[in-house]
Amino acid sequence: MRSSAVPQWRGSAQPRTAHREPRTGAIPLIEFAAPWLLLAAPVAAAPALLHLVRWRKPRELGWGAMRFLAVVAAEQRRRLAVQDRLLLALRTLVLLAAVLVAAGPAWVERSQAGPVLERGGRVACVLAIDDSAGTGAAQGDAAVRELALAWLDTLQDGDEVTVLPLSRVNEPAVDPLVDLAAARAQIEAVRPSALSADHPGLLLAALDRLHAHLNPHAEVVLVAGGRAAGWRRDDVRWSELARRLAAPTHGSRDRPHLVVLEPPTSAVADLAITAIDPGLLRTAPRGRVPLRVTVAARGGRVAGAPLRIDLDGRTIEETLVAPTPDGASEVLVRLPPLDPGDHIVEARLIGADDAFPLSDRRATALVSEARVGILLAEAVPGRGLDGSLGAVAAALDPQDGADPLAPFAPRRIAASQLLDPARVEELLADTGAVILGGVPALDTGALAVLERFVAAGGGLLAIPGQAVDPAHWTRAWYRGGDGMLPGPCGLVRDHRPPIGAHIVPGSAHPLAELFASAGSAALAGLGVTRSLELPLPGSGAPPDAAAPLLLDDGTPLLLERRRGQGRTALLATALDGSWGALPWRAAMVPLLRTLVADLAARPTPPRTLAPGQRPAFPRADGVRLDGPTGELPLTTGTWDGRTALLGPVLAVPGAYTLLAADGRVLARRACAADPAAYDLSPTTPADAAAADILGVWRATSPTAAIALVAGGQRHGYEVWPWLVALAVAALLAEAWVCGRAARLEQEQDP
Amino acid sequence: MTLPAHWHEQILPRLARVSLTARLAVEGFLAGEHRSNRRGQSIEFAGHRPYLPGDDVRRIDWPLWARSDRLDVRLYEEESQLRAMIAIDASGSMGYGGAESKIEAARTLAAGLAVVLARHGDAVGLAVLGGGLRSLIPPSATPAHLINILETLQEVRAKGPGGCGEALAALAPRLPRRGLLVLITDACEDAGGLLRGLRLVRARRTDVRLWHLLHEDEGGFPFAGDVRFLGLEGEPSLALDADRVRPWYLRALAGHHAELAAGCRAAGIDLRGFRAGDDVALAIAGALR
Repeated sequence: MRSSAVPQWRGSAQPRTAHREPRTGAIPLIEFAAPWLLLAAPVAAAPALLHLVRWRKPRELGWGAMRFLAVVAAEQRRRLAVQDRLLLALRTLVLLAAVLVAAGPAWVERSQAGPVLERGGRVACVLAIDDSAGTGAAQGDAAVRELALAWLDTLQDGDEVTVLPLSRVNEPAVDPLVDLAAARAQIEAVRPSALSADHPGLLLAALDRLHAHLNPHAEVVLVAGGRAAGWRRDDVRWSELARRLAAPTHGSRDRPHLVVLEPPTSAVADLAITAIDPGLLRTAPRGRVPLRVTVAARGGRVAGAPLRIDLDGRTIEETLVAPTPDGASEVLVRLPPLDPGDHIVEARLIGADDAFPLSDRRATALVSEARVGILLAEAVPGRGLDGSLGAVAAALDPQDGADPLAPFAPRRIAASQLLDPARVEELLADTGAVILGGVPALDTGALAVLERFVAAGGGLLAIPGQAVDPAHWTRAWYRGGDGMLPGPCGLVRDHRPPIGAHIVPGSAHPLAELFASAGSAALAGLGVTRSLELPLPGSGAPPDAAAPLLLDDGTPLLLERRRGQGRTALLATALDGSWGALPWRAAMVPLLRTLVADLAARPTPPRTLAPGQRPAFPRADGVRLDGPTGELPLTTGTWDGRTALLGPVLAVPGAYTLLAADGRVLARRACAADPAAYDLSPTTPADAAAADILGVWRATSPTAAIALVAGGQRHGYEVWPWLVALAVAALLAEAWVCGRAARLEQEQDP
Repeated sequence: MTLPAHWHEQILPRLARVSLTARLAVEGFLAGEHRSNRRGQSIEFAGHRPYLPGDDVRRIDWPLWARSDRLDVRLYEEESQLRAMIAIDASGSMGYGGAESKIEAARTLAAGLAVVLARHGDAVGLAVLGGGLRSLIPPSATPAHLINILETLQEVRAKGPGGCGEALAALAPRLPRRGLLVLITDACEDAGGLLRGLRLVRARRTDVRLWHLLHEDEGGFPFAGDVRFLGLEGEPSLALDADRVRPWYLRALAGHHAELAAGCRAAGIDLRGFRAGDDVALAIAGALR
């Protein structure tokens, strides 16, 4: 049912059909805006209760002059009783009227002309408007606005409405509008965003907004864009929606009515950039990153268009793409060498002849990092390949500092320098990771500094050596799991013949991924002749530790564990050549570089964002954020527990650049829409069947939308003014009766 | 005789002073030297009046007839003893007031009057009214008689129905003619009935003094809120809002008092008000002035 005003009541399993049965004739009834306030009605009984309480406990008194009281009682009792009851009735009436006025009663007459949606009283309406990217295709957003306005026209004064576009579901809830003109202005301001449609999410947010409404007849009206993407048939949230719709809403005597207004749409011919994939988002400097851009043609035949690739705003490639109908073309571009820092790659279709310009551009961000500081502390200092960590330094920076774009900048110091905590603090200032090579012991202060360094996000790799006492490391550095070592150290064992290592299947550690792709032969020939016996996670080592590489004897070659925001790792064998041939094996360099890069990696804000997310930048003064639509505001907030500059919620895909006051680029972020946002397939009954379990009223045109409720138009009369008048009259009467009684008593006073 | 301690300590000494300070009044009104207005045979010559048929011929002043041919009867002033009856209303309504009850005030007042009268040699009697004539002690001037009266007073309890009017009707024939009746009552009864009884007494040429005894609460009705009034004379209880019935009660009380006062005035009865708790000695002194 796509164009009929007759409600379709699908989902027979739902018992909610009963209140949607067609009714005929005029049905007058009293409706209350805040019916729960009627719970205060017993307050009206307060005068009677007080009267009863007082009447039941009179003071008793033996009295001699009963003769005169008897005369008084005979003369006045009836008058006093009448007066008492009159006052009681008046006071009860005043209180009852006050309670009723607070509850906001209205006399409502509804006439039923056909099977239409019944509105049982004043309406609390949430207009959930799909302003996803797909609505922008072929001016579909205009149809959405028209439908929303048509529904707004069915509301009357006293009804409440909340206009909730999809792009605002994450914003704080605001009070519902009773000014329908203001609601109209909000609807007319709705424009397509870059978000992908999400009908279940939008409906859930709309139900949340109902809590702010007071009127009894709750309606959630989904004004969908007519595209299949929003219905997400396999989404488990439909079940949650069904559960919530079956429950009474706050302040409502009825369950919310769900209405779907969805214009009919047709397939739109569109040429869209559906993917821009650089393969990896973090790269070493000077790397020639290959970039794969996918351009798809959907909805019929579309003419080809030039694809332009920009790197940091500079065009680096332009080529013509012409995918076949409903097919895709891939363009492979090798990016020029990247300097260290953030980079944005943006692909744009220039002059594409389609009805959906939003899909004509797409961006992604890349990070090139160089010279990450690595502190090497050696038990036996040396130069070149000498010393405890000579082979390590050579693996990390073969040119020994001559290359300014090398990924690592190792710094070798003697372990004795770690005896001074202040010196350690100074050394760690620009360090991403620390490698301890054969260091037998550390000063307590230095140990504390290193532990703080790891907890703050740094990495630490402990490598054994000849002078290491495993028992001391376990006692002082592991401390039963509280120290910086990832696990306890066992005995030093010799291996004759030398043994190799292998990866743990299924491990997600970068080392496991590295050697899984490069083959395990390199690991098999490591030639380890001596190693520390390390326990497996959960079998002596903490359960949260990881052992991605195992020696052939089944003990971990590497044990790693997260401590605070950083990580620590313990290698089972020395890397100075005294415990085997590992330093001279081919696996040494990739193993060490991957391991150290992983340990030195600090959490950084995401650089490629989806619409609806907020970009985060390191805190800085005097900076500005430029985006596709101009300069954007920046606020100070927190990201991952740290103070950061936060941009606004991104709505437009493209490149966003944080600039210093002098114009230097400090950081870049890309905003790329969900590929599902570019799915312009028209909604089919099978798509919309996802909502069938909810039981919805549907309309596909403004006329049909109005007809849904026009037959059930209400004629309401506010009752509260009459109640106020009644209460005032009762108050005046009560005052008159009291005054008259007082005058009478005064006249009797001898 | 055992009298309540406070009589000895407070009332009687003050009554002694009353008899001193108001001696002239007492003597002129109640005292033993009271000169009767009843002419009779005595040693003190009072004058003549013309002889009327039926007069004792022995009282004709024969020497006067011899001198002036007038047939007059000699008249003499007679020095007589006052015969007083103190009647107290001991109906249930007199029991109101707790420690300062009306019955207590009435007993004190009656005892005080009895003592004052007895000290001046007058004959005093006591009638206890309440549901009729409950008890009667005829007037006598002997000291033992006074003790008897005081002891009887001590035993008087407020109980039973009211109705002094009927009791006075029963008492009237037993009162000495031309005597004195002092009635102490709260008059919580039909004023007409009470006045009828009083008029019967007055018909015997008995001087009547009515002490209208009220409790402070009865005069002011100082109650508030809902009160259930329990009749002390067996009347049905009444639950009333004291604040709201006060004006009407006070009006009824005032009307009753006015009716009583008018009746007493017409019958030549001296009506005096007395509040329970008032100074008995001052009240008696005031009455004797």
